Amino acid sequence: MRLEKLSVRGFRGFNEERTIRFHERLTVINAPNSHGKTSIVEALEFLIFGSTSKVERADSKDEYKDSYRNKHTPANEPSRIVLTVRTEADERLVLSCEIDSRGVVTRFVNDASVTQWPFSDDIEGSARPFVVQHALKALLLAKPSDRFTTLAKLLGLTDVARIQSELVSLCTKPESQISGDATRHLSSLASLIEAANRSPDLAELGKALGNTSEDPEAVLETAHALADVLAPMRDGGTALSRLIAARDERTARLIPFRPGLQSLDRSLQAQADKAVSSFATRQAPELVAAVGALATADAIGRLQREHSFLHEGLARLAEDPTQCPICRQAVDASTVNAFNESRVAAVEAELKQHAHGAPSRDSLIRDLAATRDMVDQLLGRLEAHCQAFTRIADSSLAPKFVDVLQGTDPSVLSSLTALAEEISQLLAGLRGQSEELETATATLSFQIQSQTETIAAAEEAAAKSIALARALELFCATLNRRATEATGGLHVLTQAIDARAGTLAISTLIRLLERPGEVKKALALRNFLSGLKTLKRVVEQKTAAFMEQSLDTDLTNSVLAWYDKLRTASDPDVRFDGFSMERTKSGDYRSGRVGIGASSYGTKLASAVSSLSESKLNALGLCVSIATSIDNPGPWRFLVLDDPIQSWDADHESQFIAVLREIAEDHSRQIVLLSHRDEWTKRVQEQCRSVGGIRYSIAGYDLNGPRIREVAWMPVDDRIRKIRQTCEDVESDELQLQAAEEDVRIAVTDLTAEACRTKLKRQRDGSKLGGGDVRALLSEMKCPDKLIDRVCASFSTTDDSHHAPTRYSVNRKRLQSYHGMLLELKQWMRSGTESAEG
Amino acid sequence: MFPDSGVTYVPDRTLDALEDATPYAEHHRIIRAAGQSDSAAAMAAELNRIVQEILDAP
Repeated sequence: MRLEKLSVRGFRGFNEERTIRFHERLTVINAPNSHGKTSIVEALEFLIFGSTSKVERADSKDEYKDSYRNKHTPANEPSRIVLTVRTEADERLVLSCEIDSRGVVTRFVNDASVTQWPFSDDIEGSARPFVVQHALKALLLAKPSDRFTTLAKLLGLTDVARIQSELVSLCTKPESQISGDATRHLSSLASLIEAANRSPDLAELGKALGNTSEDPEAVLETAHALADVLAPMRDGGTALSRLIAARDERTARLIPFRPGLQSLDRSLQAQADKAVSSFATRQAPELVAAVGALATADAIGRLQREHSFLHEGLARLAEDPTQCPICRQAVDASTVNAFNESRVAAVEAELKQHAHGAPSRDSLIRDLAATRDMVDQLLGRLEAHCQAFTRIADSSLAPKFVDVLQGTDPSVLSSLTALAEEISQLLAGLRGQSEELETATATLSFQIQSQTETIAAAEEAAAKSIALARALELFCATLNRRATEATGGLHVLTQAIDARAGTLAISTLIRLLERPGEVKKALALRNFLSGLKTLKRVVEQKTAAFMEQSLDTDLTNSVLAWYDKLRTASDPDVRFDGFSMERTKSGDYRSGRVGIGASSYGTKLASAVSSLSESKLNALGLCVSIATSIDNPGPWRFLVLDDPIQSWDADHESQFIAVLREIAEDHSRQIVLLSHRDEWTKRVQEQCRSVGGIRYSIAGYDLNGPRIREVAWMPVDDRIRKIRQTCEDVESDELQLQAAEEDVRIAVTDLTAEACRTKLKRQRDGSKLGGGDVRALLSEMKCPDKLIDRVCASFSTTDDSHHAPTRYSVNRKRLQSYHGMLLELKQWMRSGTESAEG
Repeated sequence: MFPDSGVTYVPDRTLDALEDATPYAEHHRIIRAAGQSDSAAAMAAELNRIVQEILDAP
């Protein structure tokens, strides 16, 4: 892909629209500092890649936020970059993008909106064709690890670098990525291992627990074996029960119970939650409704009795319709039947209406009793759960605790006692509310039993029920919080008891055997996370091997070749020596670190970064960029160089111009060169005059952006004058004479193109005309045949690529003859209106 | 290809080579997550799935 034309408006330093036409070989843009050169480069980079390397490399992205749009661009106008390119298939594409005032970017190909460029697949793995100073510095002076990322990008290994960075980061500290539950398992295991390692009796267990490749089952077997030693089998029982009995027997001499407080386990928490939900949201409102419905139940009873009575009466009337079956008086049968039938129908309808939901006094009384049982049972469990903690607040035991905790921070006991008192008070509060609920429900039950129930009594019981639910909720939350808060203090206390009683090892084993499943999970989890170190090593070594292979095969030799082209005869032999992955003493790769080798007169130096001068490092950075762009071009056939030379001497600057020529001519790369060095860009133009190009000069800058002016590359009159000077200069060497001969060829095609414009009114690009084209056009313009033959004879010593044919040798006389031909052609073309020498 | 498009591409050969170098199935799962879009988050999610499977094991 080659660049043809760029238009920029409202982007970076460009407010008003500016257009730059690119030469197919060399476009030179000269401007003082801060006059918009980099904005041109950024416009190209942003359009093609969606971001600029300057912003991508920035440490603080915030500082570059909204920096792409020119701040003077009206909010209702989008920033716009339009680039015309020609693809390898000789297809012309107009790529453009717009950035609106909110920063939303829309991209187009030939004015049709797209989400990706048609050549996006070809971009992957290719180097960006942009050489920018800050990137060179970032590459060479960066830390070796950052250099890895930058070089990976240049080598098209961005994804390898990303995988390396992300996987290594994940495997280095996986604990930071896992859930809180998993973290708790790990810290509990760590504490268990620490305790085991402190007890000489548990040395074997500590070793097994700490071994990341040990099977968790084997760890438990070790624990059971140790349990048999510390609490031998006497009266049966499990290892755990024997250990607990052995421990409590010894510690009871100091403290009569084992202090502890756990958060509510799942079963107890579920029971509490069920009670809260039942009391507060269902039972209380339903209780009032149920009592209210008891009156309905009574009405139904009355209806059922009337229904039976009427049926019985109708049956007897059927036997003797002339008299009442109860008082035996004479009746009008039809009237009585009509009344009874309609009443039966009414009663049946009413019964049907109340068929559902009729409450039962007995069931209601049973429910109230069940509630009281549920509360009793729950409170009993909660009190039992907290007993080993609330007893710490027992003042009669205080001296024992003080004795056991001698030598420790006194605040441990005081804070534990305070927490225990708080839990005791909350439990007492719960018990009080439970008794109030019991009284209220007992009263209500009695009323229901005696059919004297009142809504007020039902509401009283419901209110007590709700109050208990709320208190229960608060208690559970507080208990779980305090259990966590008390962990540290309880640990100090139980350790002190165990230390005094000589039961540290037994307690550690109990901790393990109390929750063997949890320990096994924690061990499996720890072993898995530890195994990620293996993955980390695999990733480090594999990605480094990829990188080194790429550095060896794709980069080092190419860079060395370009680097040698920049050397001058007088350069000291202190030089770049190739890239390599850094290694440890054992020969492993160091993680993601690229070293830059250097040597001095055959001796290896520590690093090019510390050994090479600033200008040499600059040259090396350029060579890396050039090498990767040439060797790994992707779809790009152009190379943009932004201010490539820095603090170089004249010789090295000239060498670099030769490099530019080589890139343009031998590697067919279109070059866009931007520099603040006016004098040097003129030398580029001079030494590349036969290459052909366009030169722009940015002489001013205002609110609307840079003022860009095209400067003639080499006017044909200047070129003819230059040929004459070379011919006349007796000191002109072979190279200069050969260059002058190339100039002849260019002057011929430029004059032919000019004649085409003036005589045939047709535009032709002189740089694209071959010998056949020139002959045909001159014939068409009625140029004398003799002159045409002389003109075309000049093509025999330079081919269409401006290169000398085989067995070419310079000939000053021939050159003089060509010069005469050029004067004659110019005179004919301009029909004698100007002097031939201009 | 654009930073805002969320499109990522990881050459399979890199992932294949990493997989070949470690025998563990859990490692393979994490390596494959590295090939997904938003790979850092995908890998962390896969790590947590494996951790949860360990904790949920009977």
